[in-house]
This record gives sequence, C-alpha cells and structure tokens, in this order.
Amino acid sequence: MTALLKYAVVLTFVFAVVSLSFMVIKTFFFGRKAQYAKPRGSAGKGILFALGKGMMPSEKESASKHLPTYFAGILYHAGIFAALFYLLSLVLSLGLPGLSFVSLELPASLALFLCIVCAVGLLSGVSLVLKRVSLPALRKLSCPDDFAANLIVDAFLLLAAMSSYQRFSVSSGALSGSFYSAIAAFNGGSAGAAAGNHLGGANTLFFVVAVVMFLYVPLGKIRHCFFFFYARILLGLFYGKRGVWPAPGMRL
Amino acid sequence: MKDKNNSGNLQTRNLIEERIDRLTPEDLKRALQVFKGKLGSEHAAYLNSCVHCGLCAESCHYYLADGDVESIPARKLNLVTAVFKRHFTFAGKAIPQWVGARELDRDIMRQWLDSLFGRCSLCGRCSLNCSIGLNVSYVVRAARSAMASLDLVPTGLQSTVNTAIDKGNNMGIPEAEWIETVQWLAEELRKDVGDPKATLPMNLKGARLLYTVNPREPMFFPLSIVAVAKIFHAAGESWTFSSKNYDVTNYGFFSGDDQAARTISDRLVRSMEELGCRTLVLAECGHGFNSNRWEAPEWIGKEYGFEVKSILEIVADYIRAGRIRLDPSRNPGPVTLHDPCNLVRLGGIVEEQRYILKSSTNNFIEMTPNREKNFCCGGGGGQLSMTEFTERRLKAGKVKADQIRRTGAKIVAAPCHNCIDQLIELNKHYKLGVEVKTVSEIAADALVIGGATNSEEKCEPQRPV
Repeated sequence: MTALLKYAVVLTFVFAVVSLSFMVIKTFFFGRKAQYAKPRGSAGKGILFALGKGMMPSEKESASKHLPTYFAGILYHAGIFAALFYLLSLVLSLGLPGLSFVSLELPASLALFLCIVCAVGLLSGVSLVLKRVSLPALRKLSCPDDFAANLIVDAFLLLAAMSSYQRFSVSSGALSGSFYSAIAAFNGGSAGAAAGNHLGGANTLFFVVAVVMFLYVPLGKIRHCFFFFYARILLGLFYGKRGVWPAPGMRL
Repeated sequence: MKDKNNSGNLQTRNLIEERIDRLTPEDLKRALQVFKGKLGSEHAAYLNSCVHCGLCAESCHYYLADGDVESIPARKLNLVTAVFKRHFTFAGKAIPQWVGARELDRDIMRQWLDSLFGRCSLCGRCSLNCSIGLNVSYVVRAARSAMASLDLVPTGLQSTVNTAIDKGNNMGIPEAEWIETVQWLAEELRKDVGDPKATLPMNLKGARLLYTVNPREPMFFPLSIVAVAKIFHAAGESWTFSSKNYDVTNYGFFSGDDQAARTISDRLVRSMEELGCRTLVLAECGHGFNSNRWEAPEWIGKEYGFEVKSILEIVADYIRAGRIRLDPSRNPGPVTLHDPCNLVRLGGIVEEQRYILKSSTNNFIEMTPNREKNFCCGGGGGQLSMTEFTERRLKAGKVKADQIRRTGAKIVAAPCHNCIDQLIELNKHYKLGVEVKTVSEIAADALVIGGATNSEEKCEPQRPV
C-alpha cells in the first residue's frame, strides 16, 4: 500500500510539473511581443530587482502596510517548502523501488526543525484563509478555488508536521523502546516493526494528501508556484528595460 | 448646469450600453478573437497568476477614494482573467464556477466598460504593489482593445481618437491656425529674449531636434511653448516644428485601438524622416512619451533610426553641459512635483525633472510617495475625455489633492498636460490654492538669458521647406 502511494506521489508530482510546464509553454503560443524600442536601462538588473529587493516591504507599500499578512505569506510558503522537502525525504528514505541508490535519512534535529516550520506555516495558512473568510472585500474577490487551494495545502502542512514530529520522536527515542515493545507484545512481532507501522500509518495519509495536492496544482491557483517566477521576471524585464528598476544608484 | 452635464453623461453611457445590448453572438465571437489576438505570452502569464490576495487594493487611488470592491485592481483584473480562463484554459472550460471563469457575454462587457474604462487610469501603480508582479494596466489595455473592436469605446475618448486621425491632431487645429499661432508666439519670444532674430522654426530641414507639442498647448497654454522656445534659444539649439505633424498625444493608446495608435505615431516618424532630424523630442506629456518612446516602435514594427527623448532629458542635458544657466532665486516657490505615471513609472524619466527643478528653485519639496511610487492624479487612461466618469475621476483625485496639500507648496510642477488639466480641476474642486505649471515653464522663469557657459553641440540647420 505504502509503496503504491509512493509511486502515486512521484507520478502525480511529475504530472504537476509536466502540466505546469505545458501551461507555461502554452503561453508562448500567444506570441512574443517584439522589442523594437531601444532600452533605457538594464533588463537583467530589472529582473534581479524584481526577484529580490523589489519584493521587500521597503519597496512595496502593499507589504509595508500589511506586515502581518506579508510575514504570514512568507512563513506559509516556507512551511510548504519544508513539507515538500520532508515529503522528498520520506519517498527516498523509505526505499522507493528503482530509487534505492538515493536516500535521504533525516536526523532527529532536522525532523524537528521541519516539523516546527511546517506547523508555523500551517498556522500562517489558516490565518490567511480566516482573513479571506472574514473580510467582505476579500470574500468577494474569491472563488471556491481560493479556499480549496488553501485548505488542501493546509492539510498537507498539518500532516507533514504530524509525520515529521513522529519521525523525530522515533529517531530521538522520545517514544521509548518499551512503548513499541508493548505494542509488539500485544500485536505480536518485533518492536522495530511496531515503530515502522506507527510511522507508516502517519505517512499514508500524508502521501494521500500529497497526491491530491499534486493533482490539483495545475487546475487552481497553486499554479502560481511556477507562474510567480515567470510573472516577476516579465515585470522585471519591463521595468528594467525602461530604466525604472532599479532606481539609479540603488544597490541590488 | 450640473444637472445638464449629468444628463449628458448619462446619455453618453446609455448609448454604449444600448450598443452592448445589441451585440450579437457573432460580435462577441469577434471580440473574443480580437482579445485573443491582442494577448501575447506576457498577458497569458499574467492572466494565469493572480492569487486574489487583495493586497493591491490600497495601491489604487480609485479604491482609496471610494472603498468600493469594484475598484480593487485584482477585481478589475479578475474581469479579464475570468474570460481568459473560460475560453483558453482547461480548468476554466471544465469547472468554470470553481475557478471563477466566465463567458465573454454582454454582462461582462458592461462590467468591462464600467471598470476597465471607468475605474482604471492605466497608471500601473498596482503592478509595483502586486504580490506576484502582474502588469495589470497591460492586461486592461488588451481588454480595452477587444472593446474597441466592437466600437464600445466611450464616446468622448473615441471622438478624440477620431479627431486625431481625421484632422492630424487631437484638437482638430487647422494647419494654417497652427502656423499663425507659432508666428504669434515667435513675436512673444523675441520680446521675451530681446533678440529680433529669435524664432520658432517651422519645417527646418536638417535641424537636430524635431519638437512636438500637446495640441492643448497652442489652444490653451501657449506660454508653455514659448517657455521651451526660450530654453532652445538660450541653448543655441537647432530645432524645428513640423507644420503638419506636431501632436505628441496618442489617444489610441488609451482606447486600445492599435491601428489608430500606429497611424498617429507613424506621422511623427514620417516627419522625422522627411525633415532629416536626429532626435524626436516629446513635449511634457506622459502618455505621449510612453506611446512614442516605448509602444510606437512595437505598433509600427520597426526600430527607429533616430533617438526619441523627452524635453526633460534635453533640458537636463543643457544644464549639465552649461548650455543654459538658471537662477533658482527667481522661483521662490515652494514648488512640488507631480510624477506623471506614463512618464515616470511607465516611462523611466524619473530624475531629470528633479534635476531641472532643483536647478530652477531653492525651495523644492517632494511629495510622499514620489517617483515611481507616486499616486496617479486621476487624469490618465483617457479619463479626461470620458465625461460619463467625471464625478468618479474627481473623487479619485482626492488622493493626489491630499498629497499636494501636505507639501504646503504654492506651485505644482507637472510634466504632463493631461495631468495639468486634472490638477487644475482638482485645485478648484478641493480648493488647494496652488498654481500648476510645466517643468519647462519653471525652468524658463529661472533662465538667465545670455548666461550660457558652453555653446557646443550646436547644429547648423539647412533650409526651411
């Protein structure tokens, strides 16, 4: 069952990446606008600014005026990256057939760190969805996808946090050997197998949610995970070429 | 009088709404095709990316003024995104309500009319503040293009485009009248500079610069032309007007009609080629600069064989090179500066006007925020010509009025004639008690005639044609 789910995780991840790549490629079929106007500034510097300093509260009123939301957004996305890293470690460390040459065993401290980042990300994600529910203007801006995307990712973070905590507990011995010995005595079998089952149960649900999330990525707003970089690069090109970004004399 | 105006505005709006009511399914199909044709890969990227975070709301002067959800940039963008998703994405076709996709129909056309023409000045401030980095005004203009293909551009804006196409300039000034005005202004210049040989050259072949004006200048603000002529004279510049093609404006840019925009901008290109000038100099006009400097080469489909510069770049160069000398004590001020969106945020002319003003007055005060982060005055995007949205435009201008009031300035420098018109109205409406001037006028007031220390780079012109 777990092996099948691991395959499903990998396959749906590949599906998400391929679908998003296809969507990006599809945009090129709309045609690229010619660039005949002579540049006034540097497109490269504009892109660097757009992907760096241009996102800081010092440069964006929308961030400086909404610092709690801004930081919630950053922590939410940090949590997502941590959860994805944790998922990768699970898929590899549990010995995916055909991928046995790679493994990523997590030390207990790293598992705990990922657990904390995922938990903070989860709280941030929940705060963002609550904001969306409670503010009439934001509610009016939203469609079902806005809520669904957030809730799917929140579930992913929740399970990543739970699973990584269990991994930390097992690795660090926080759940004692006698705990698993007792389970083994009750069910029959070894303490090691009991510990493995414990983790396996937590991971099963995590894998299921990951599969759902990867399947949903190209359908809804989560596709901004690709398009965000695409859009910011384009904006950086636009303002860089026109000499607006970065401001003269500004250090990138 | 106000009632009469309001009923006129209502009539104008109703006329277009009637046209929308009459749209056939074939018309809508055509609009969709035009819309698709206007989209490039950039648009498609932006239309795939909005996450509806709503953080752009307070970057928009419309939303700040009315607090209406319809004024939130994401909401305006969403009207376009919804159509894009419905017709050009898998999810939009399969689960439209789930992802907020909508058919291009009469209902959404009405919303486009109200929001994309009536609640957006294409200022681009929301793009800087967008969490993702979406170029919203770029997308809005593509949707305006689809409206233009169905003859659904608000009447005032369309008639400005039509006048420019039919008469050669957006005020419909006959050529003889333009020439006569320039002759009269030449007399003014001679008096001002005390030089009987001073002139405003017309059709001077081989001149270094071809200077363009906003047709509102000869009609209502002729002294802004004299101001620039004084500066050219003091710098010993070789320059000329064209008797036929001198209009820097391009309302096709606002209406979304690329064909009209191309025709209008191409006239200046032809004049440059006919007169053999080296630099096309654009008067203080925000959208005129954006259109002719950045967009027109794309509309026309070629790289220009000449330079395109704002008059502000030219004047700043004169000061740096010592070709003119300014006495800042002649402008006691205090002077503040409005940054026109199309010139600054979308055009890249950010520091030149500051350099000129700091050389022209000792009492210069910046607005907050300023430069590319400045607020739109509300006069851009063709708003001044769309009388049906006048009330909304003035309301949205409150943000700018408050900005000006906070500086305590007595003079507002605005290097854009659309902005000047809007600021003059705001001055009256919000009782600001300021004087609105172009940057060149302020520089000309500080000009020391005969004070230049360097008269290099002069070009010998050939003969008038």
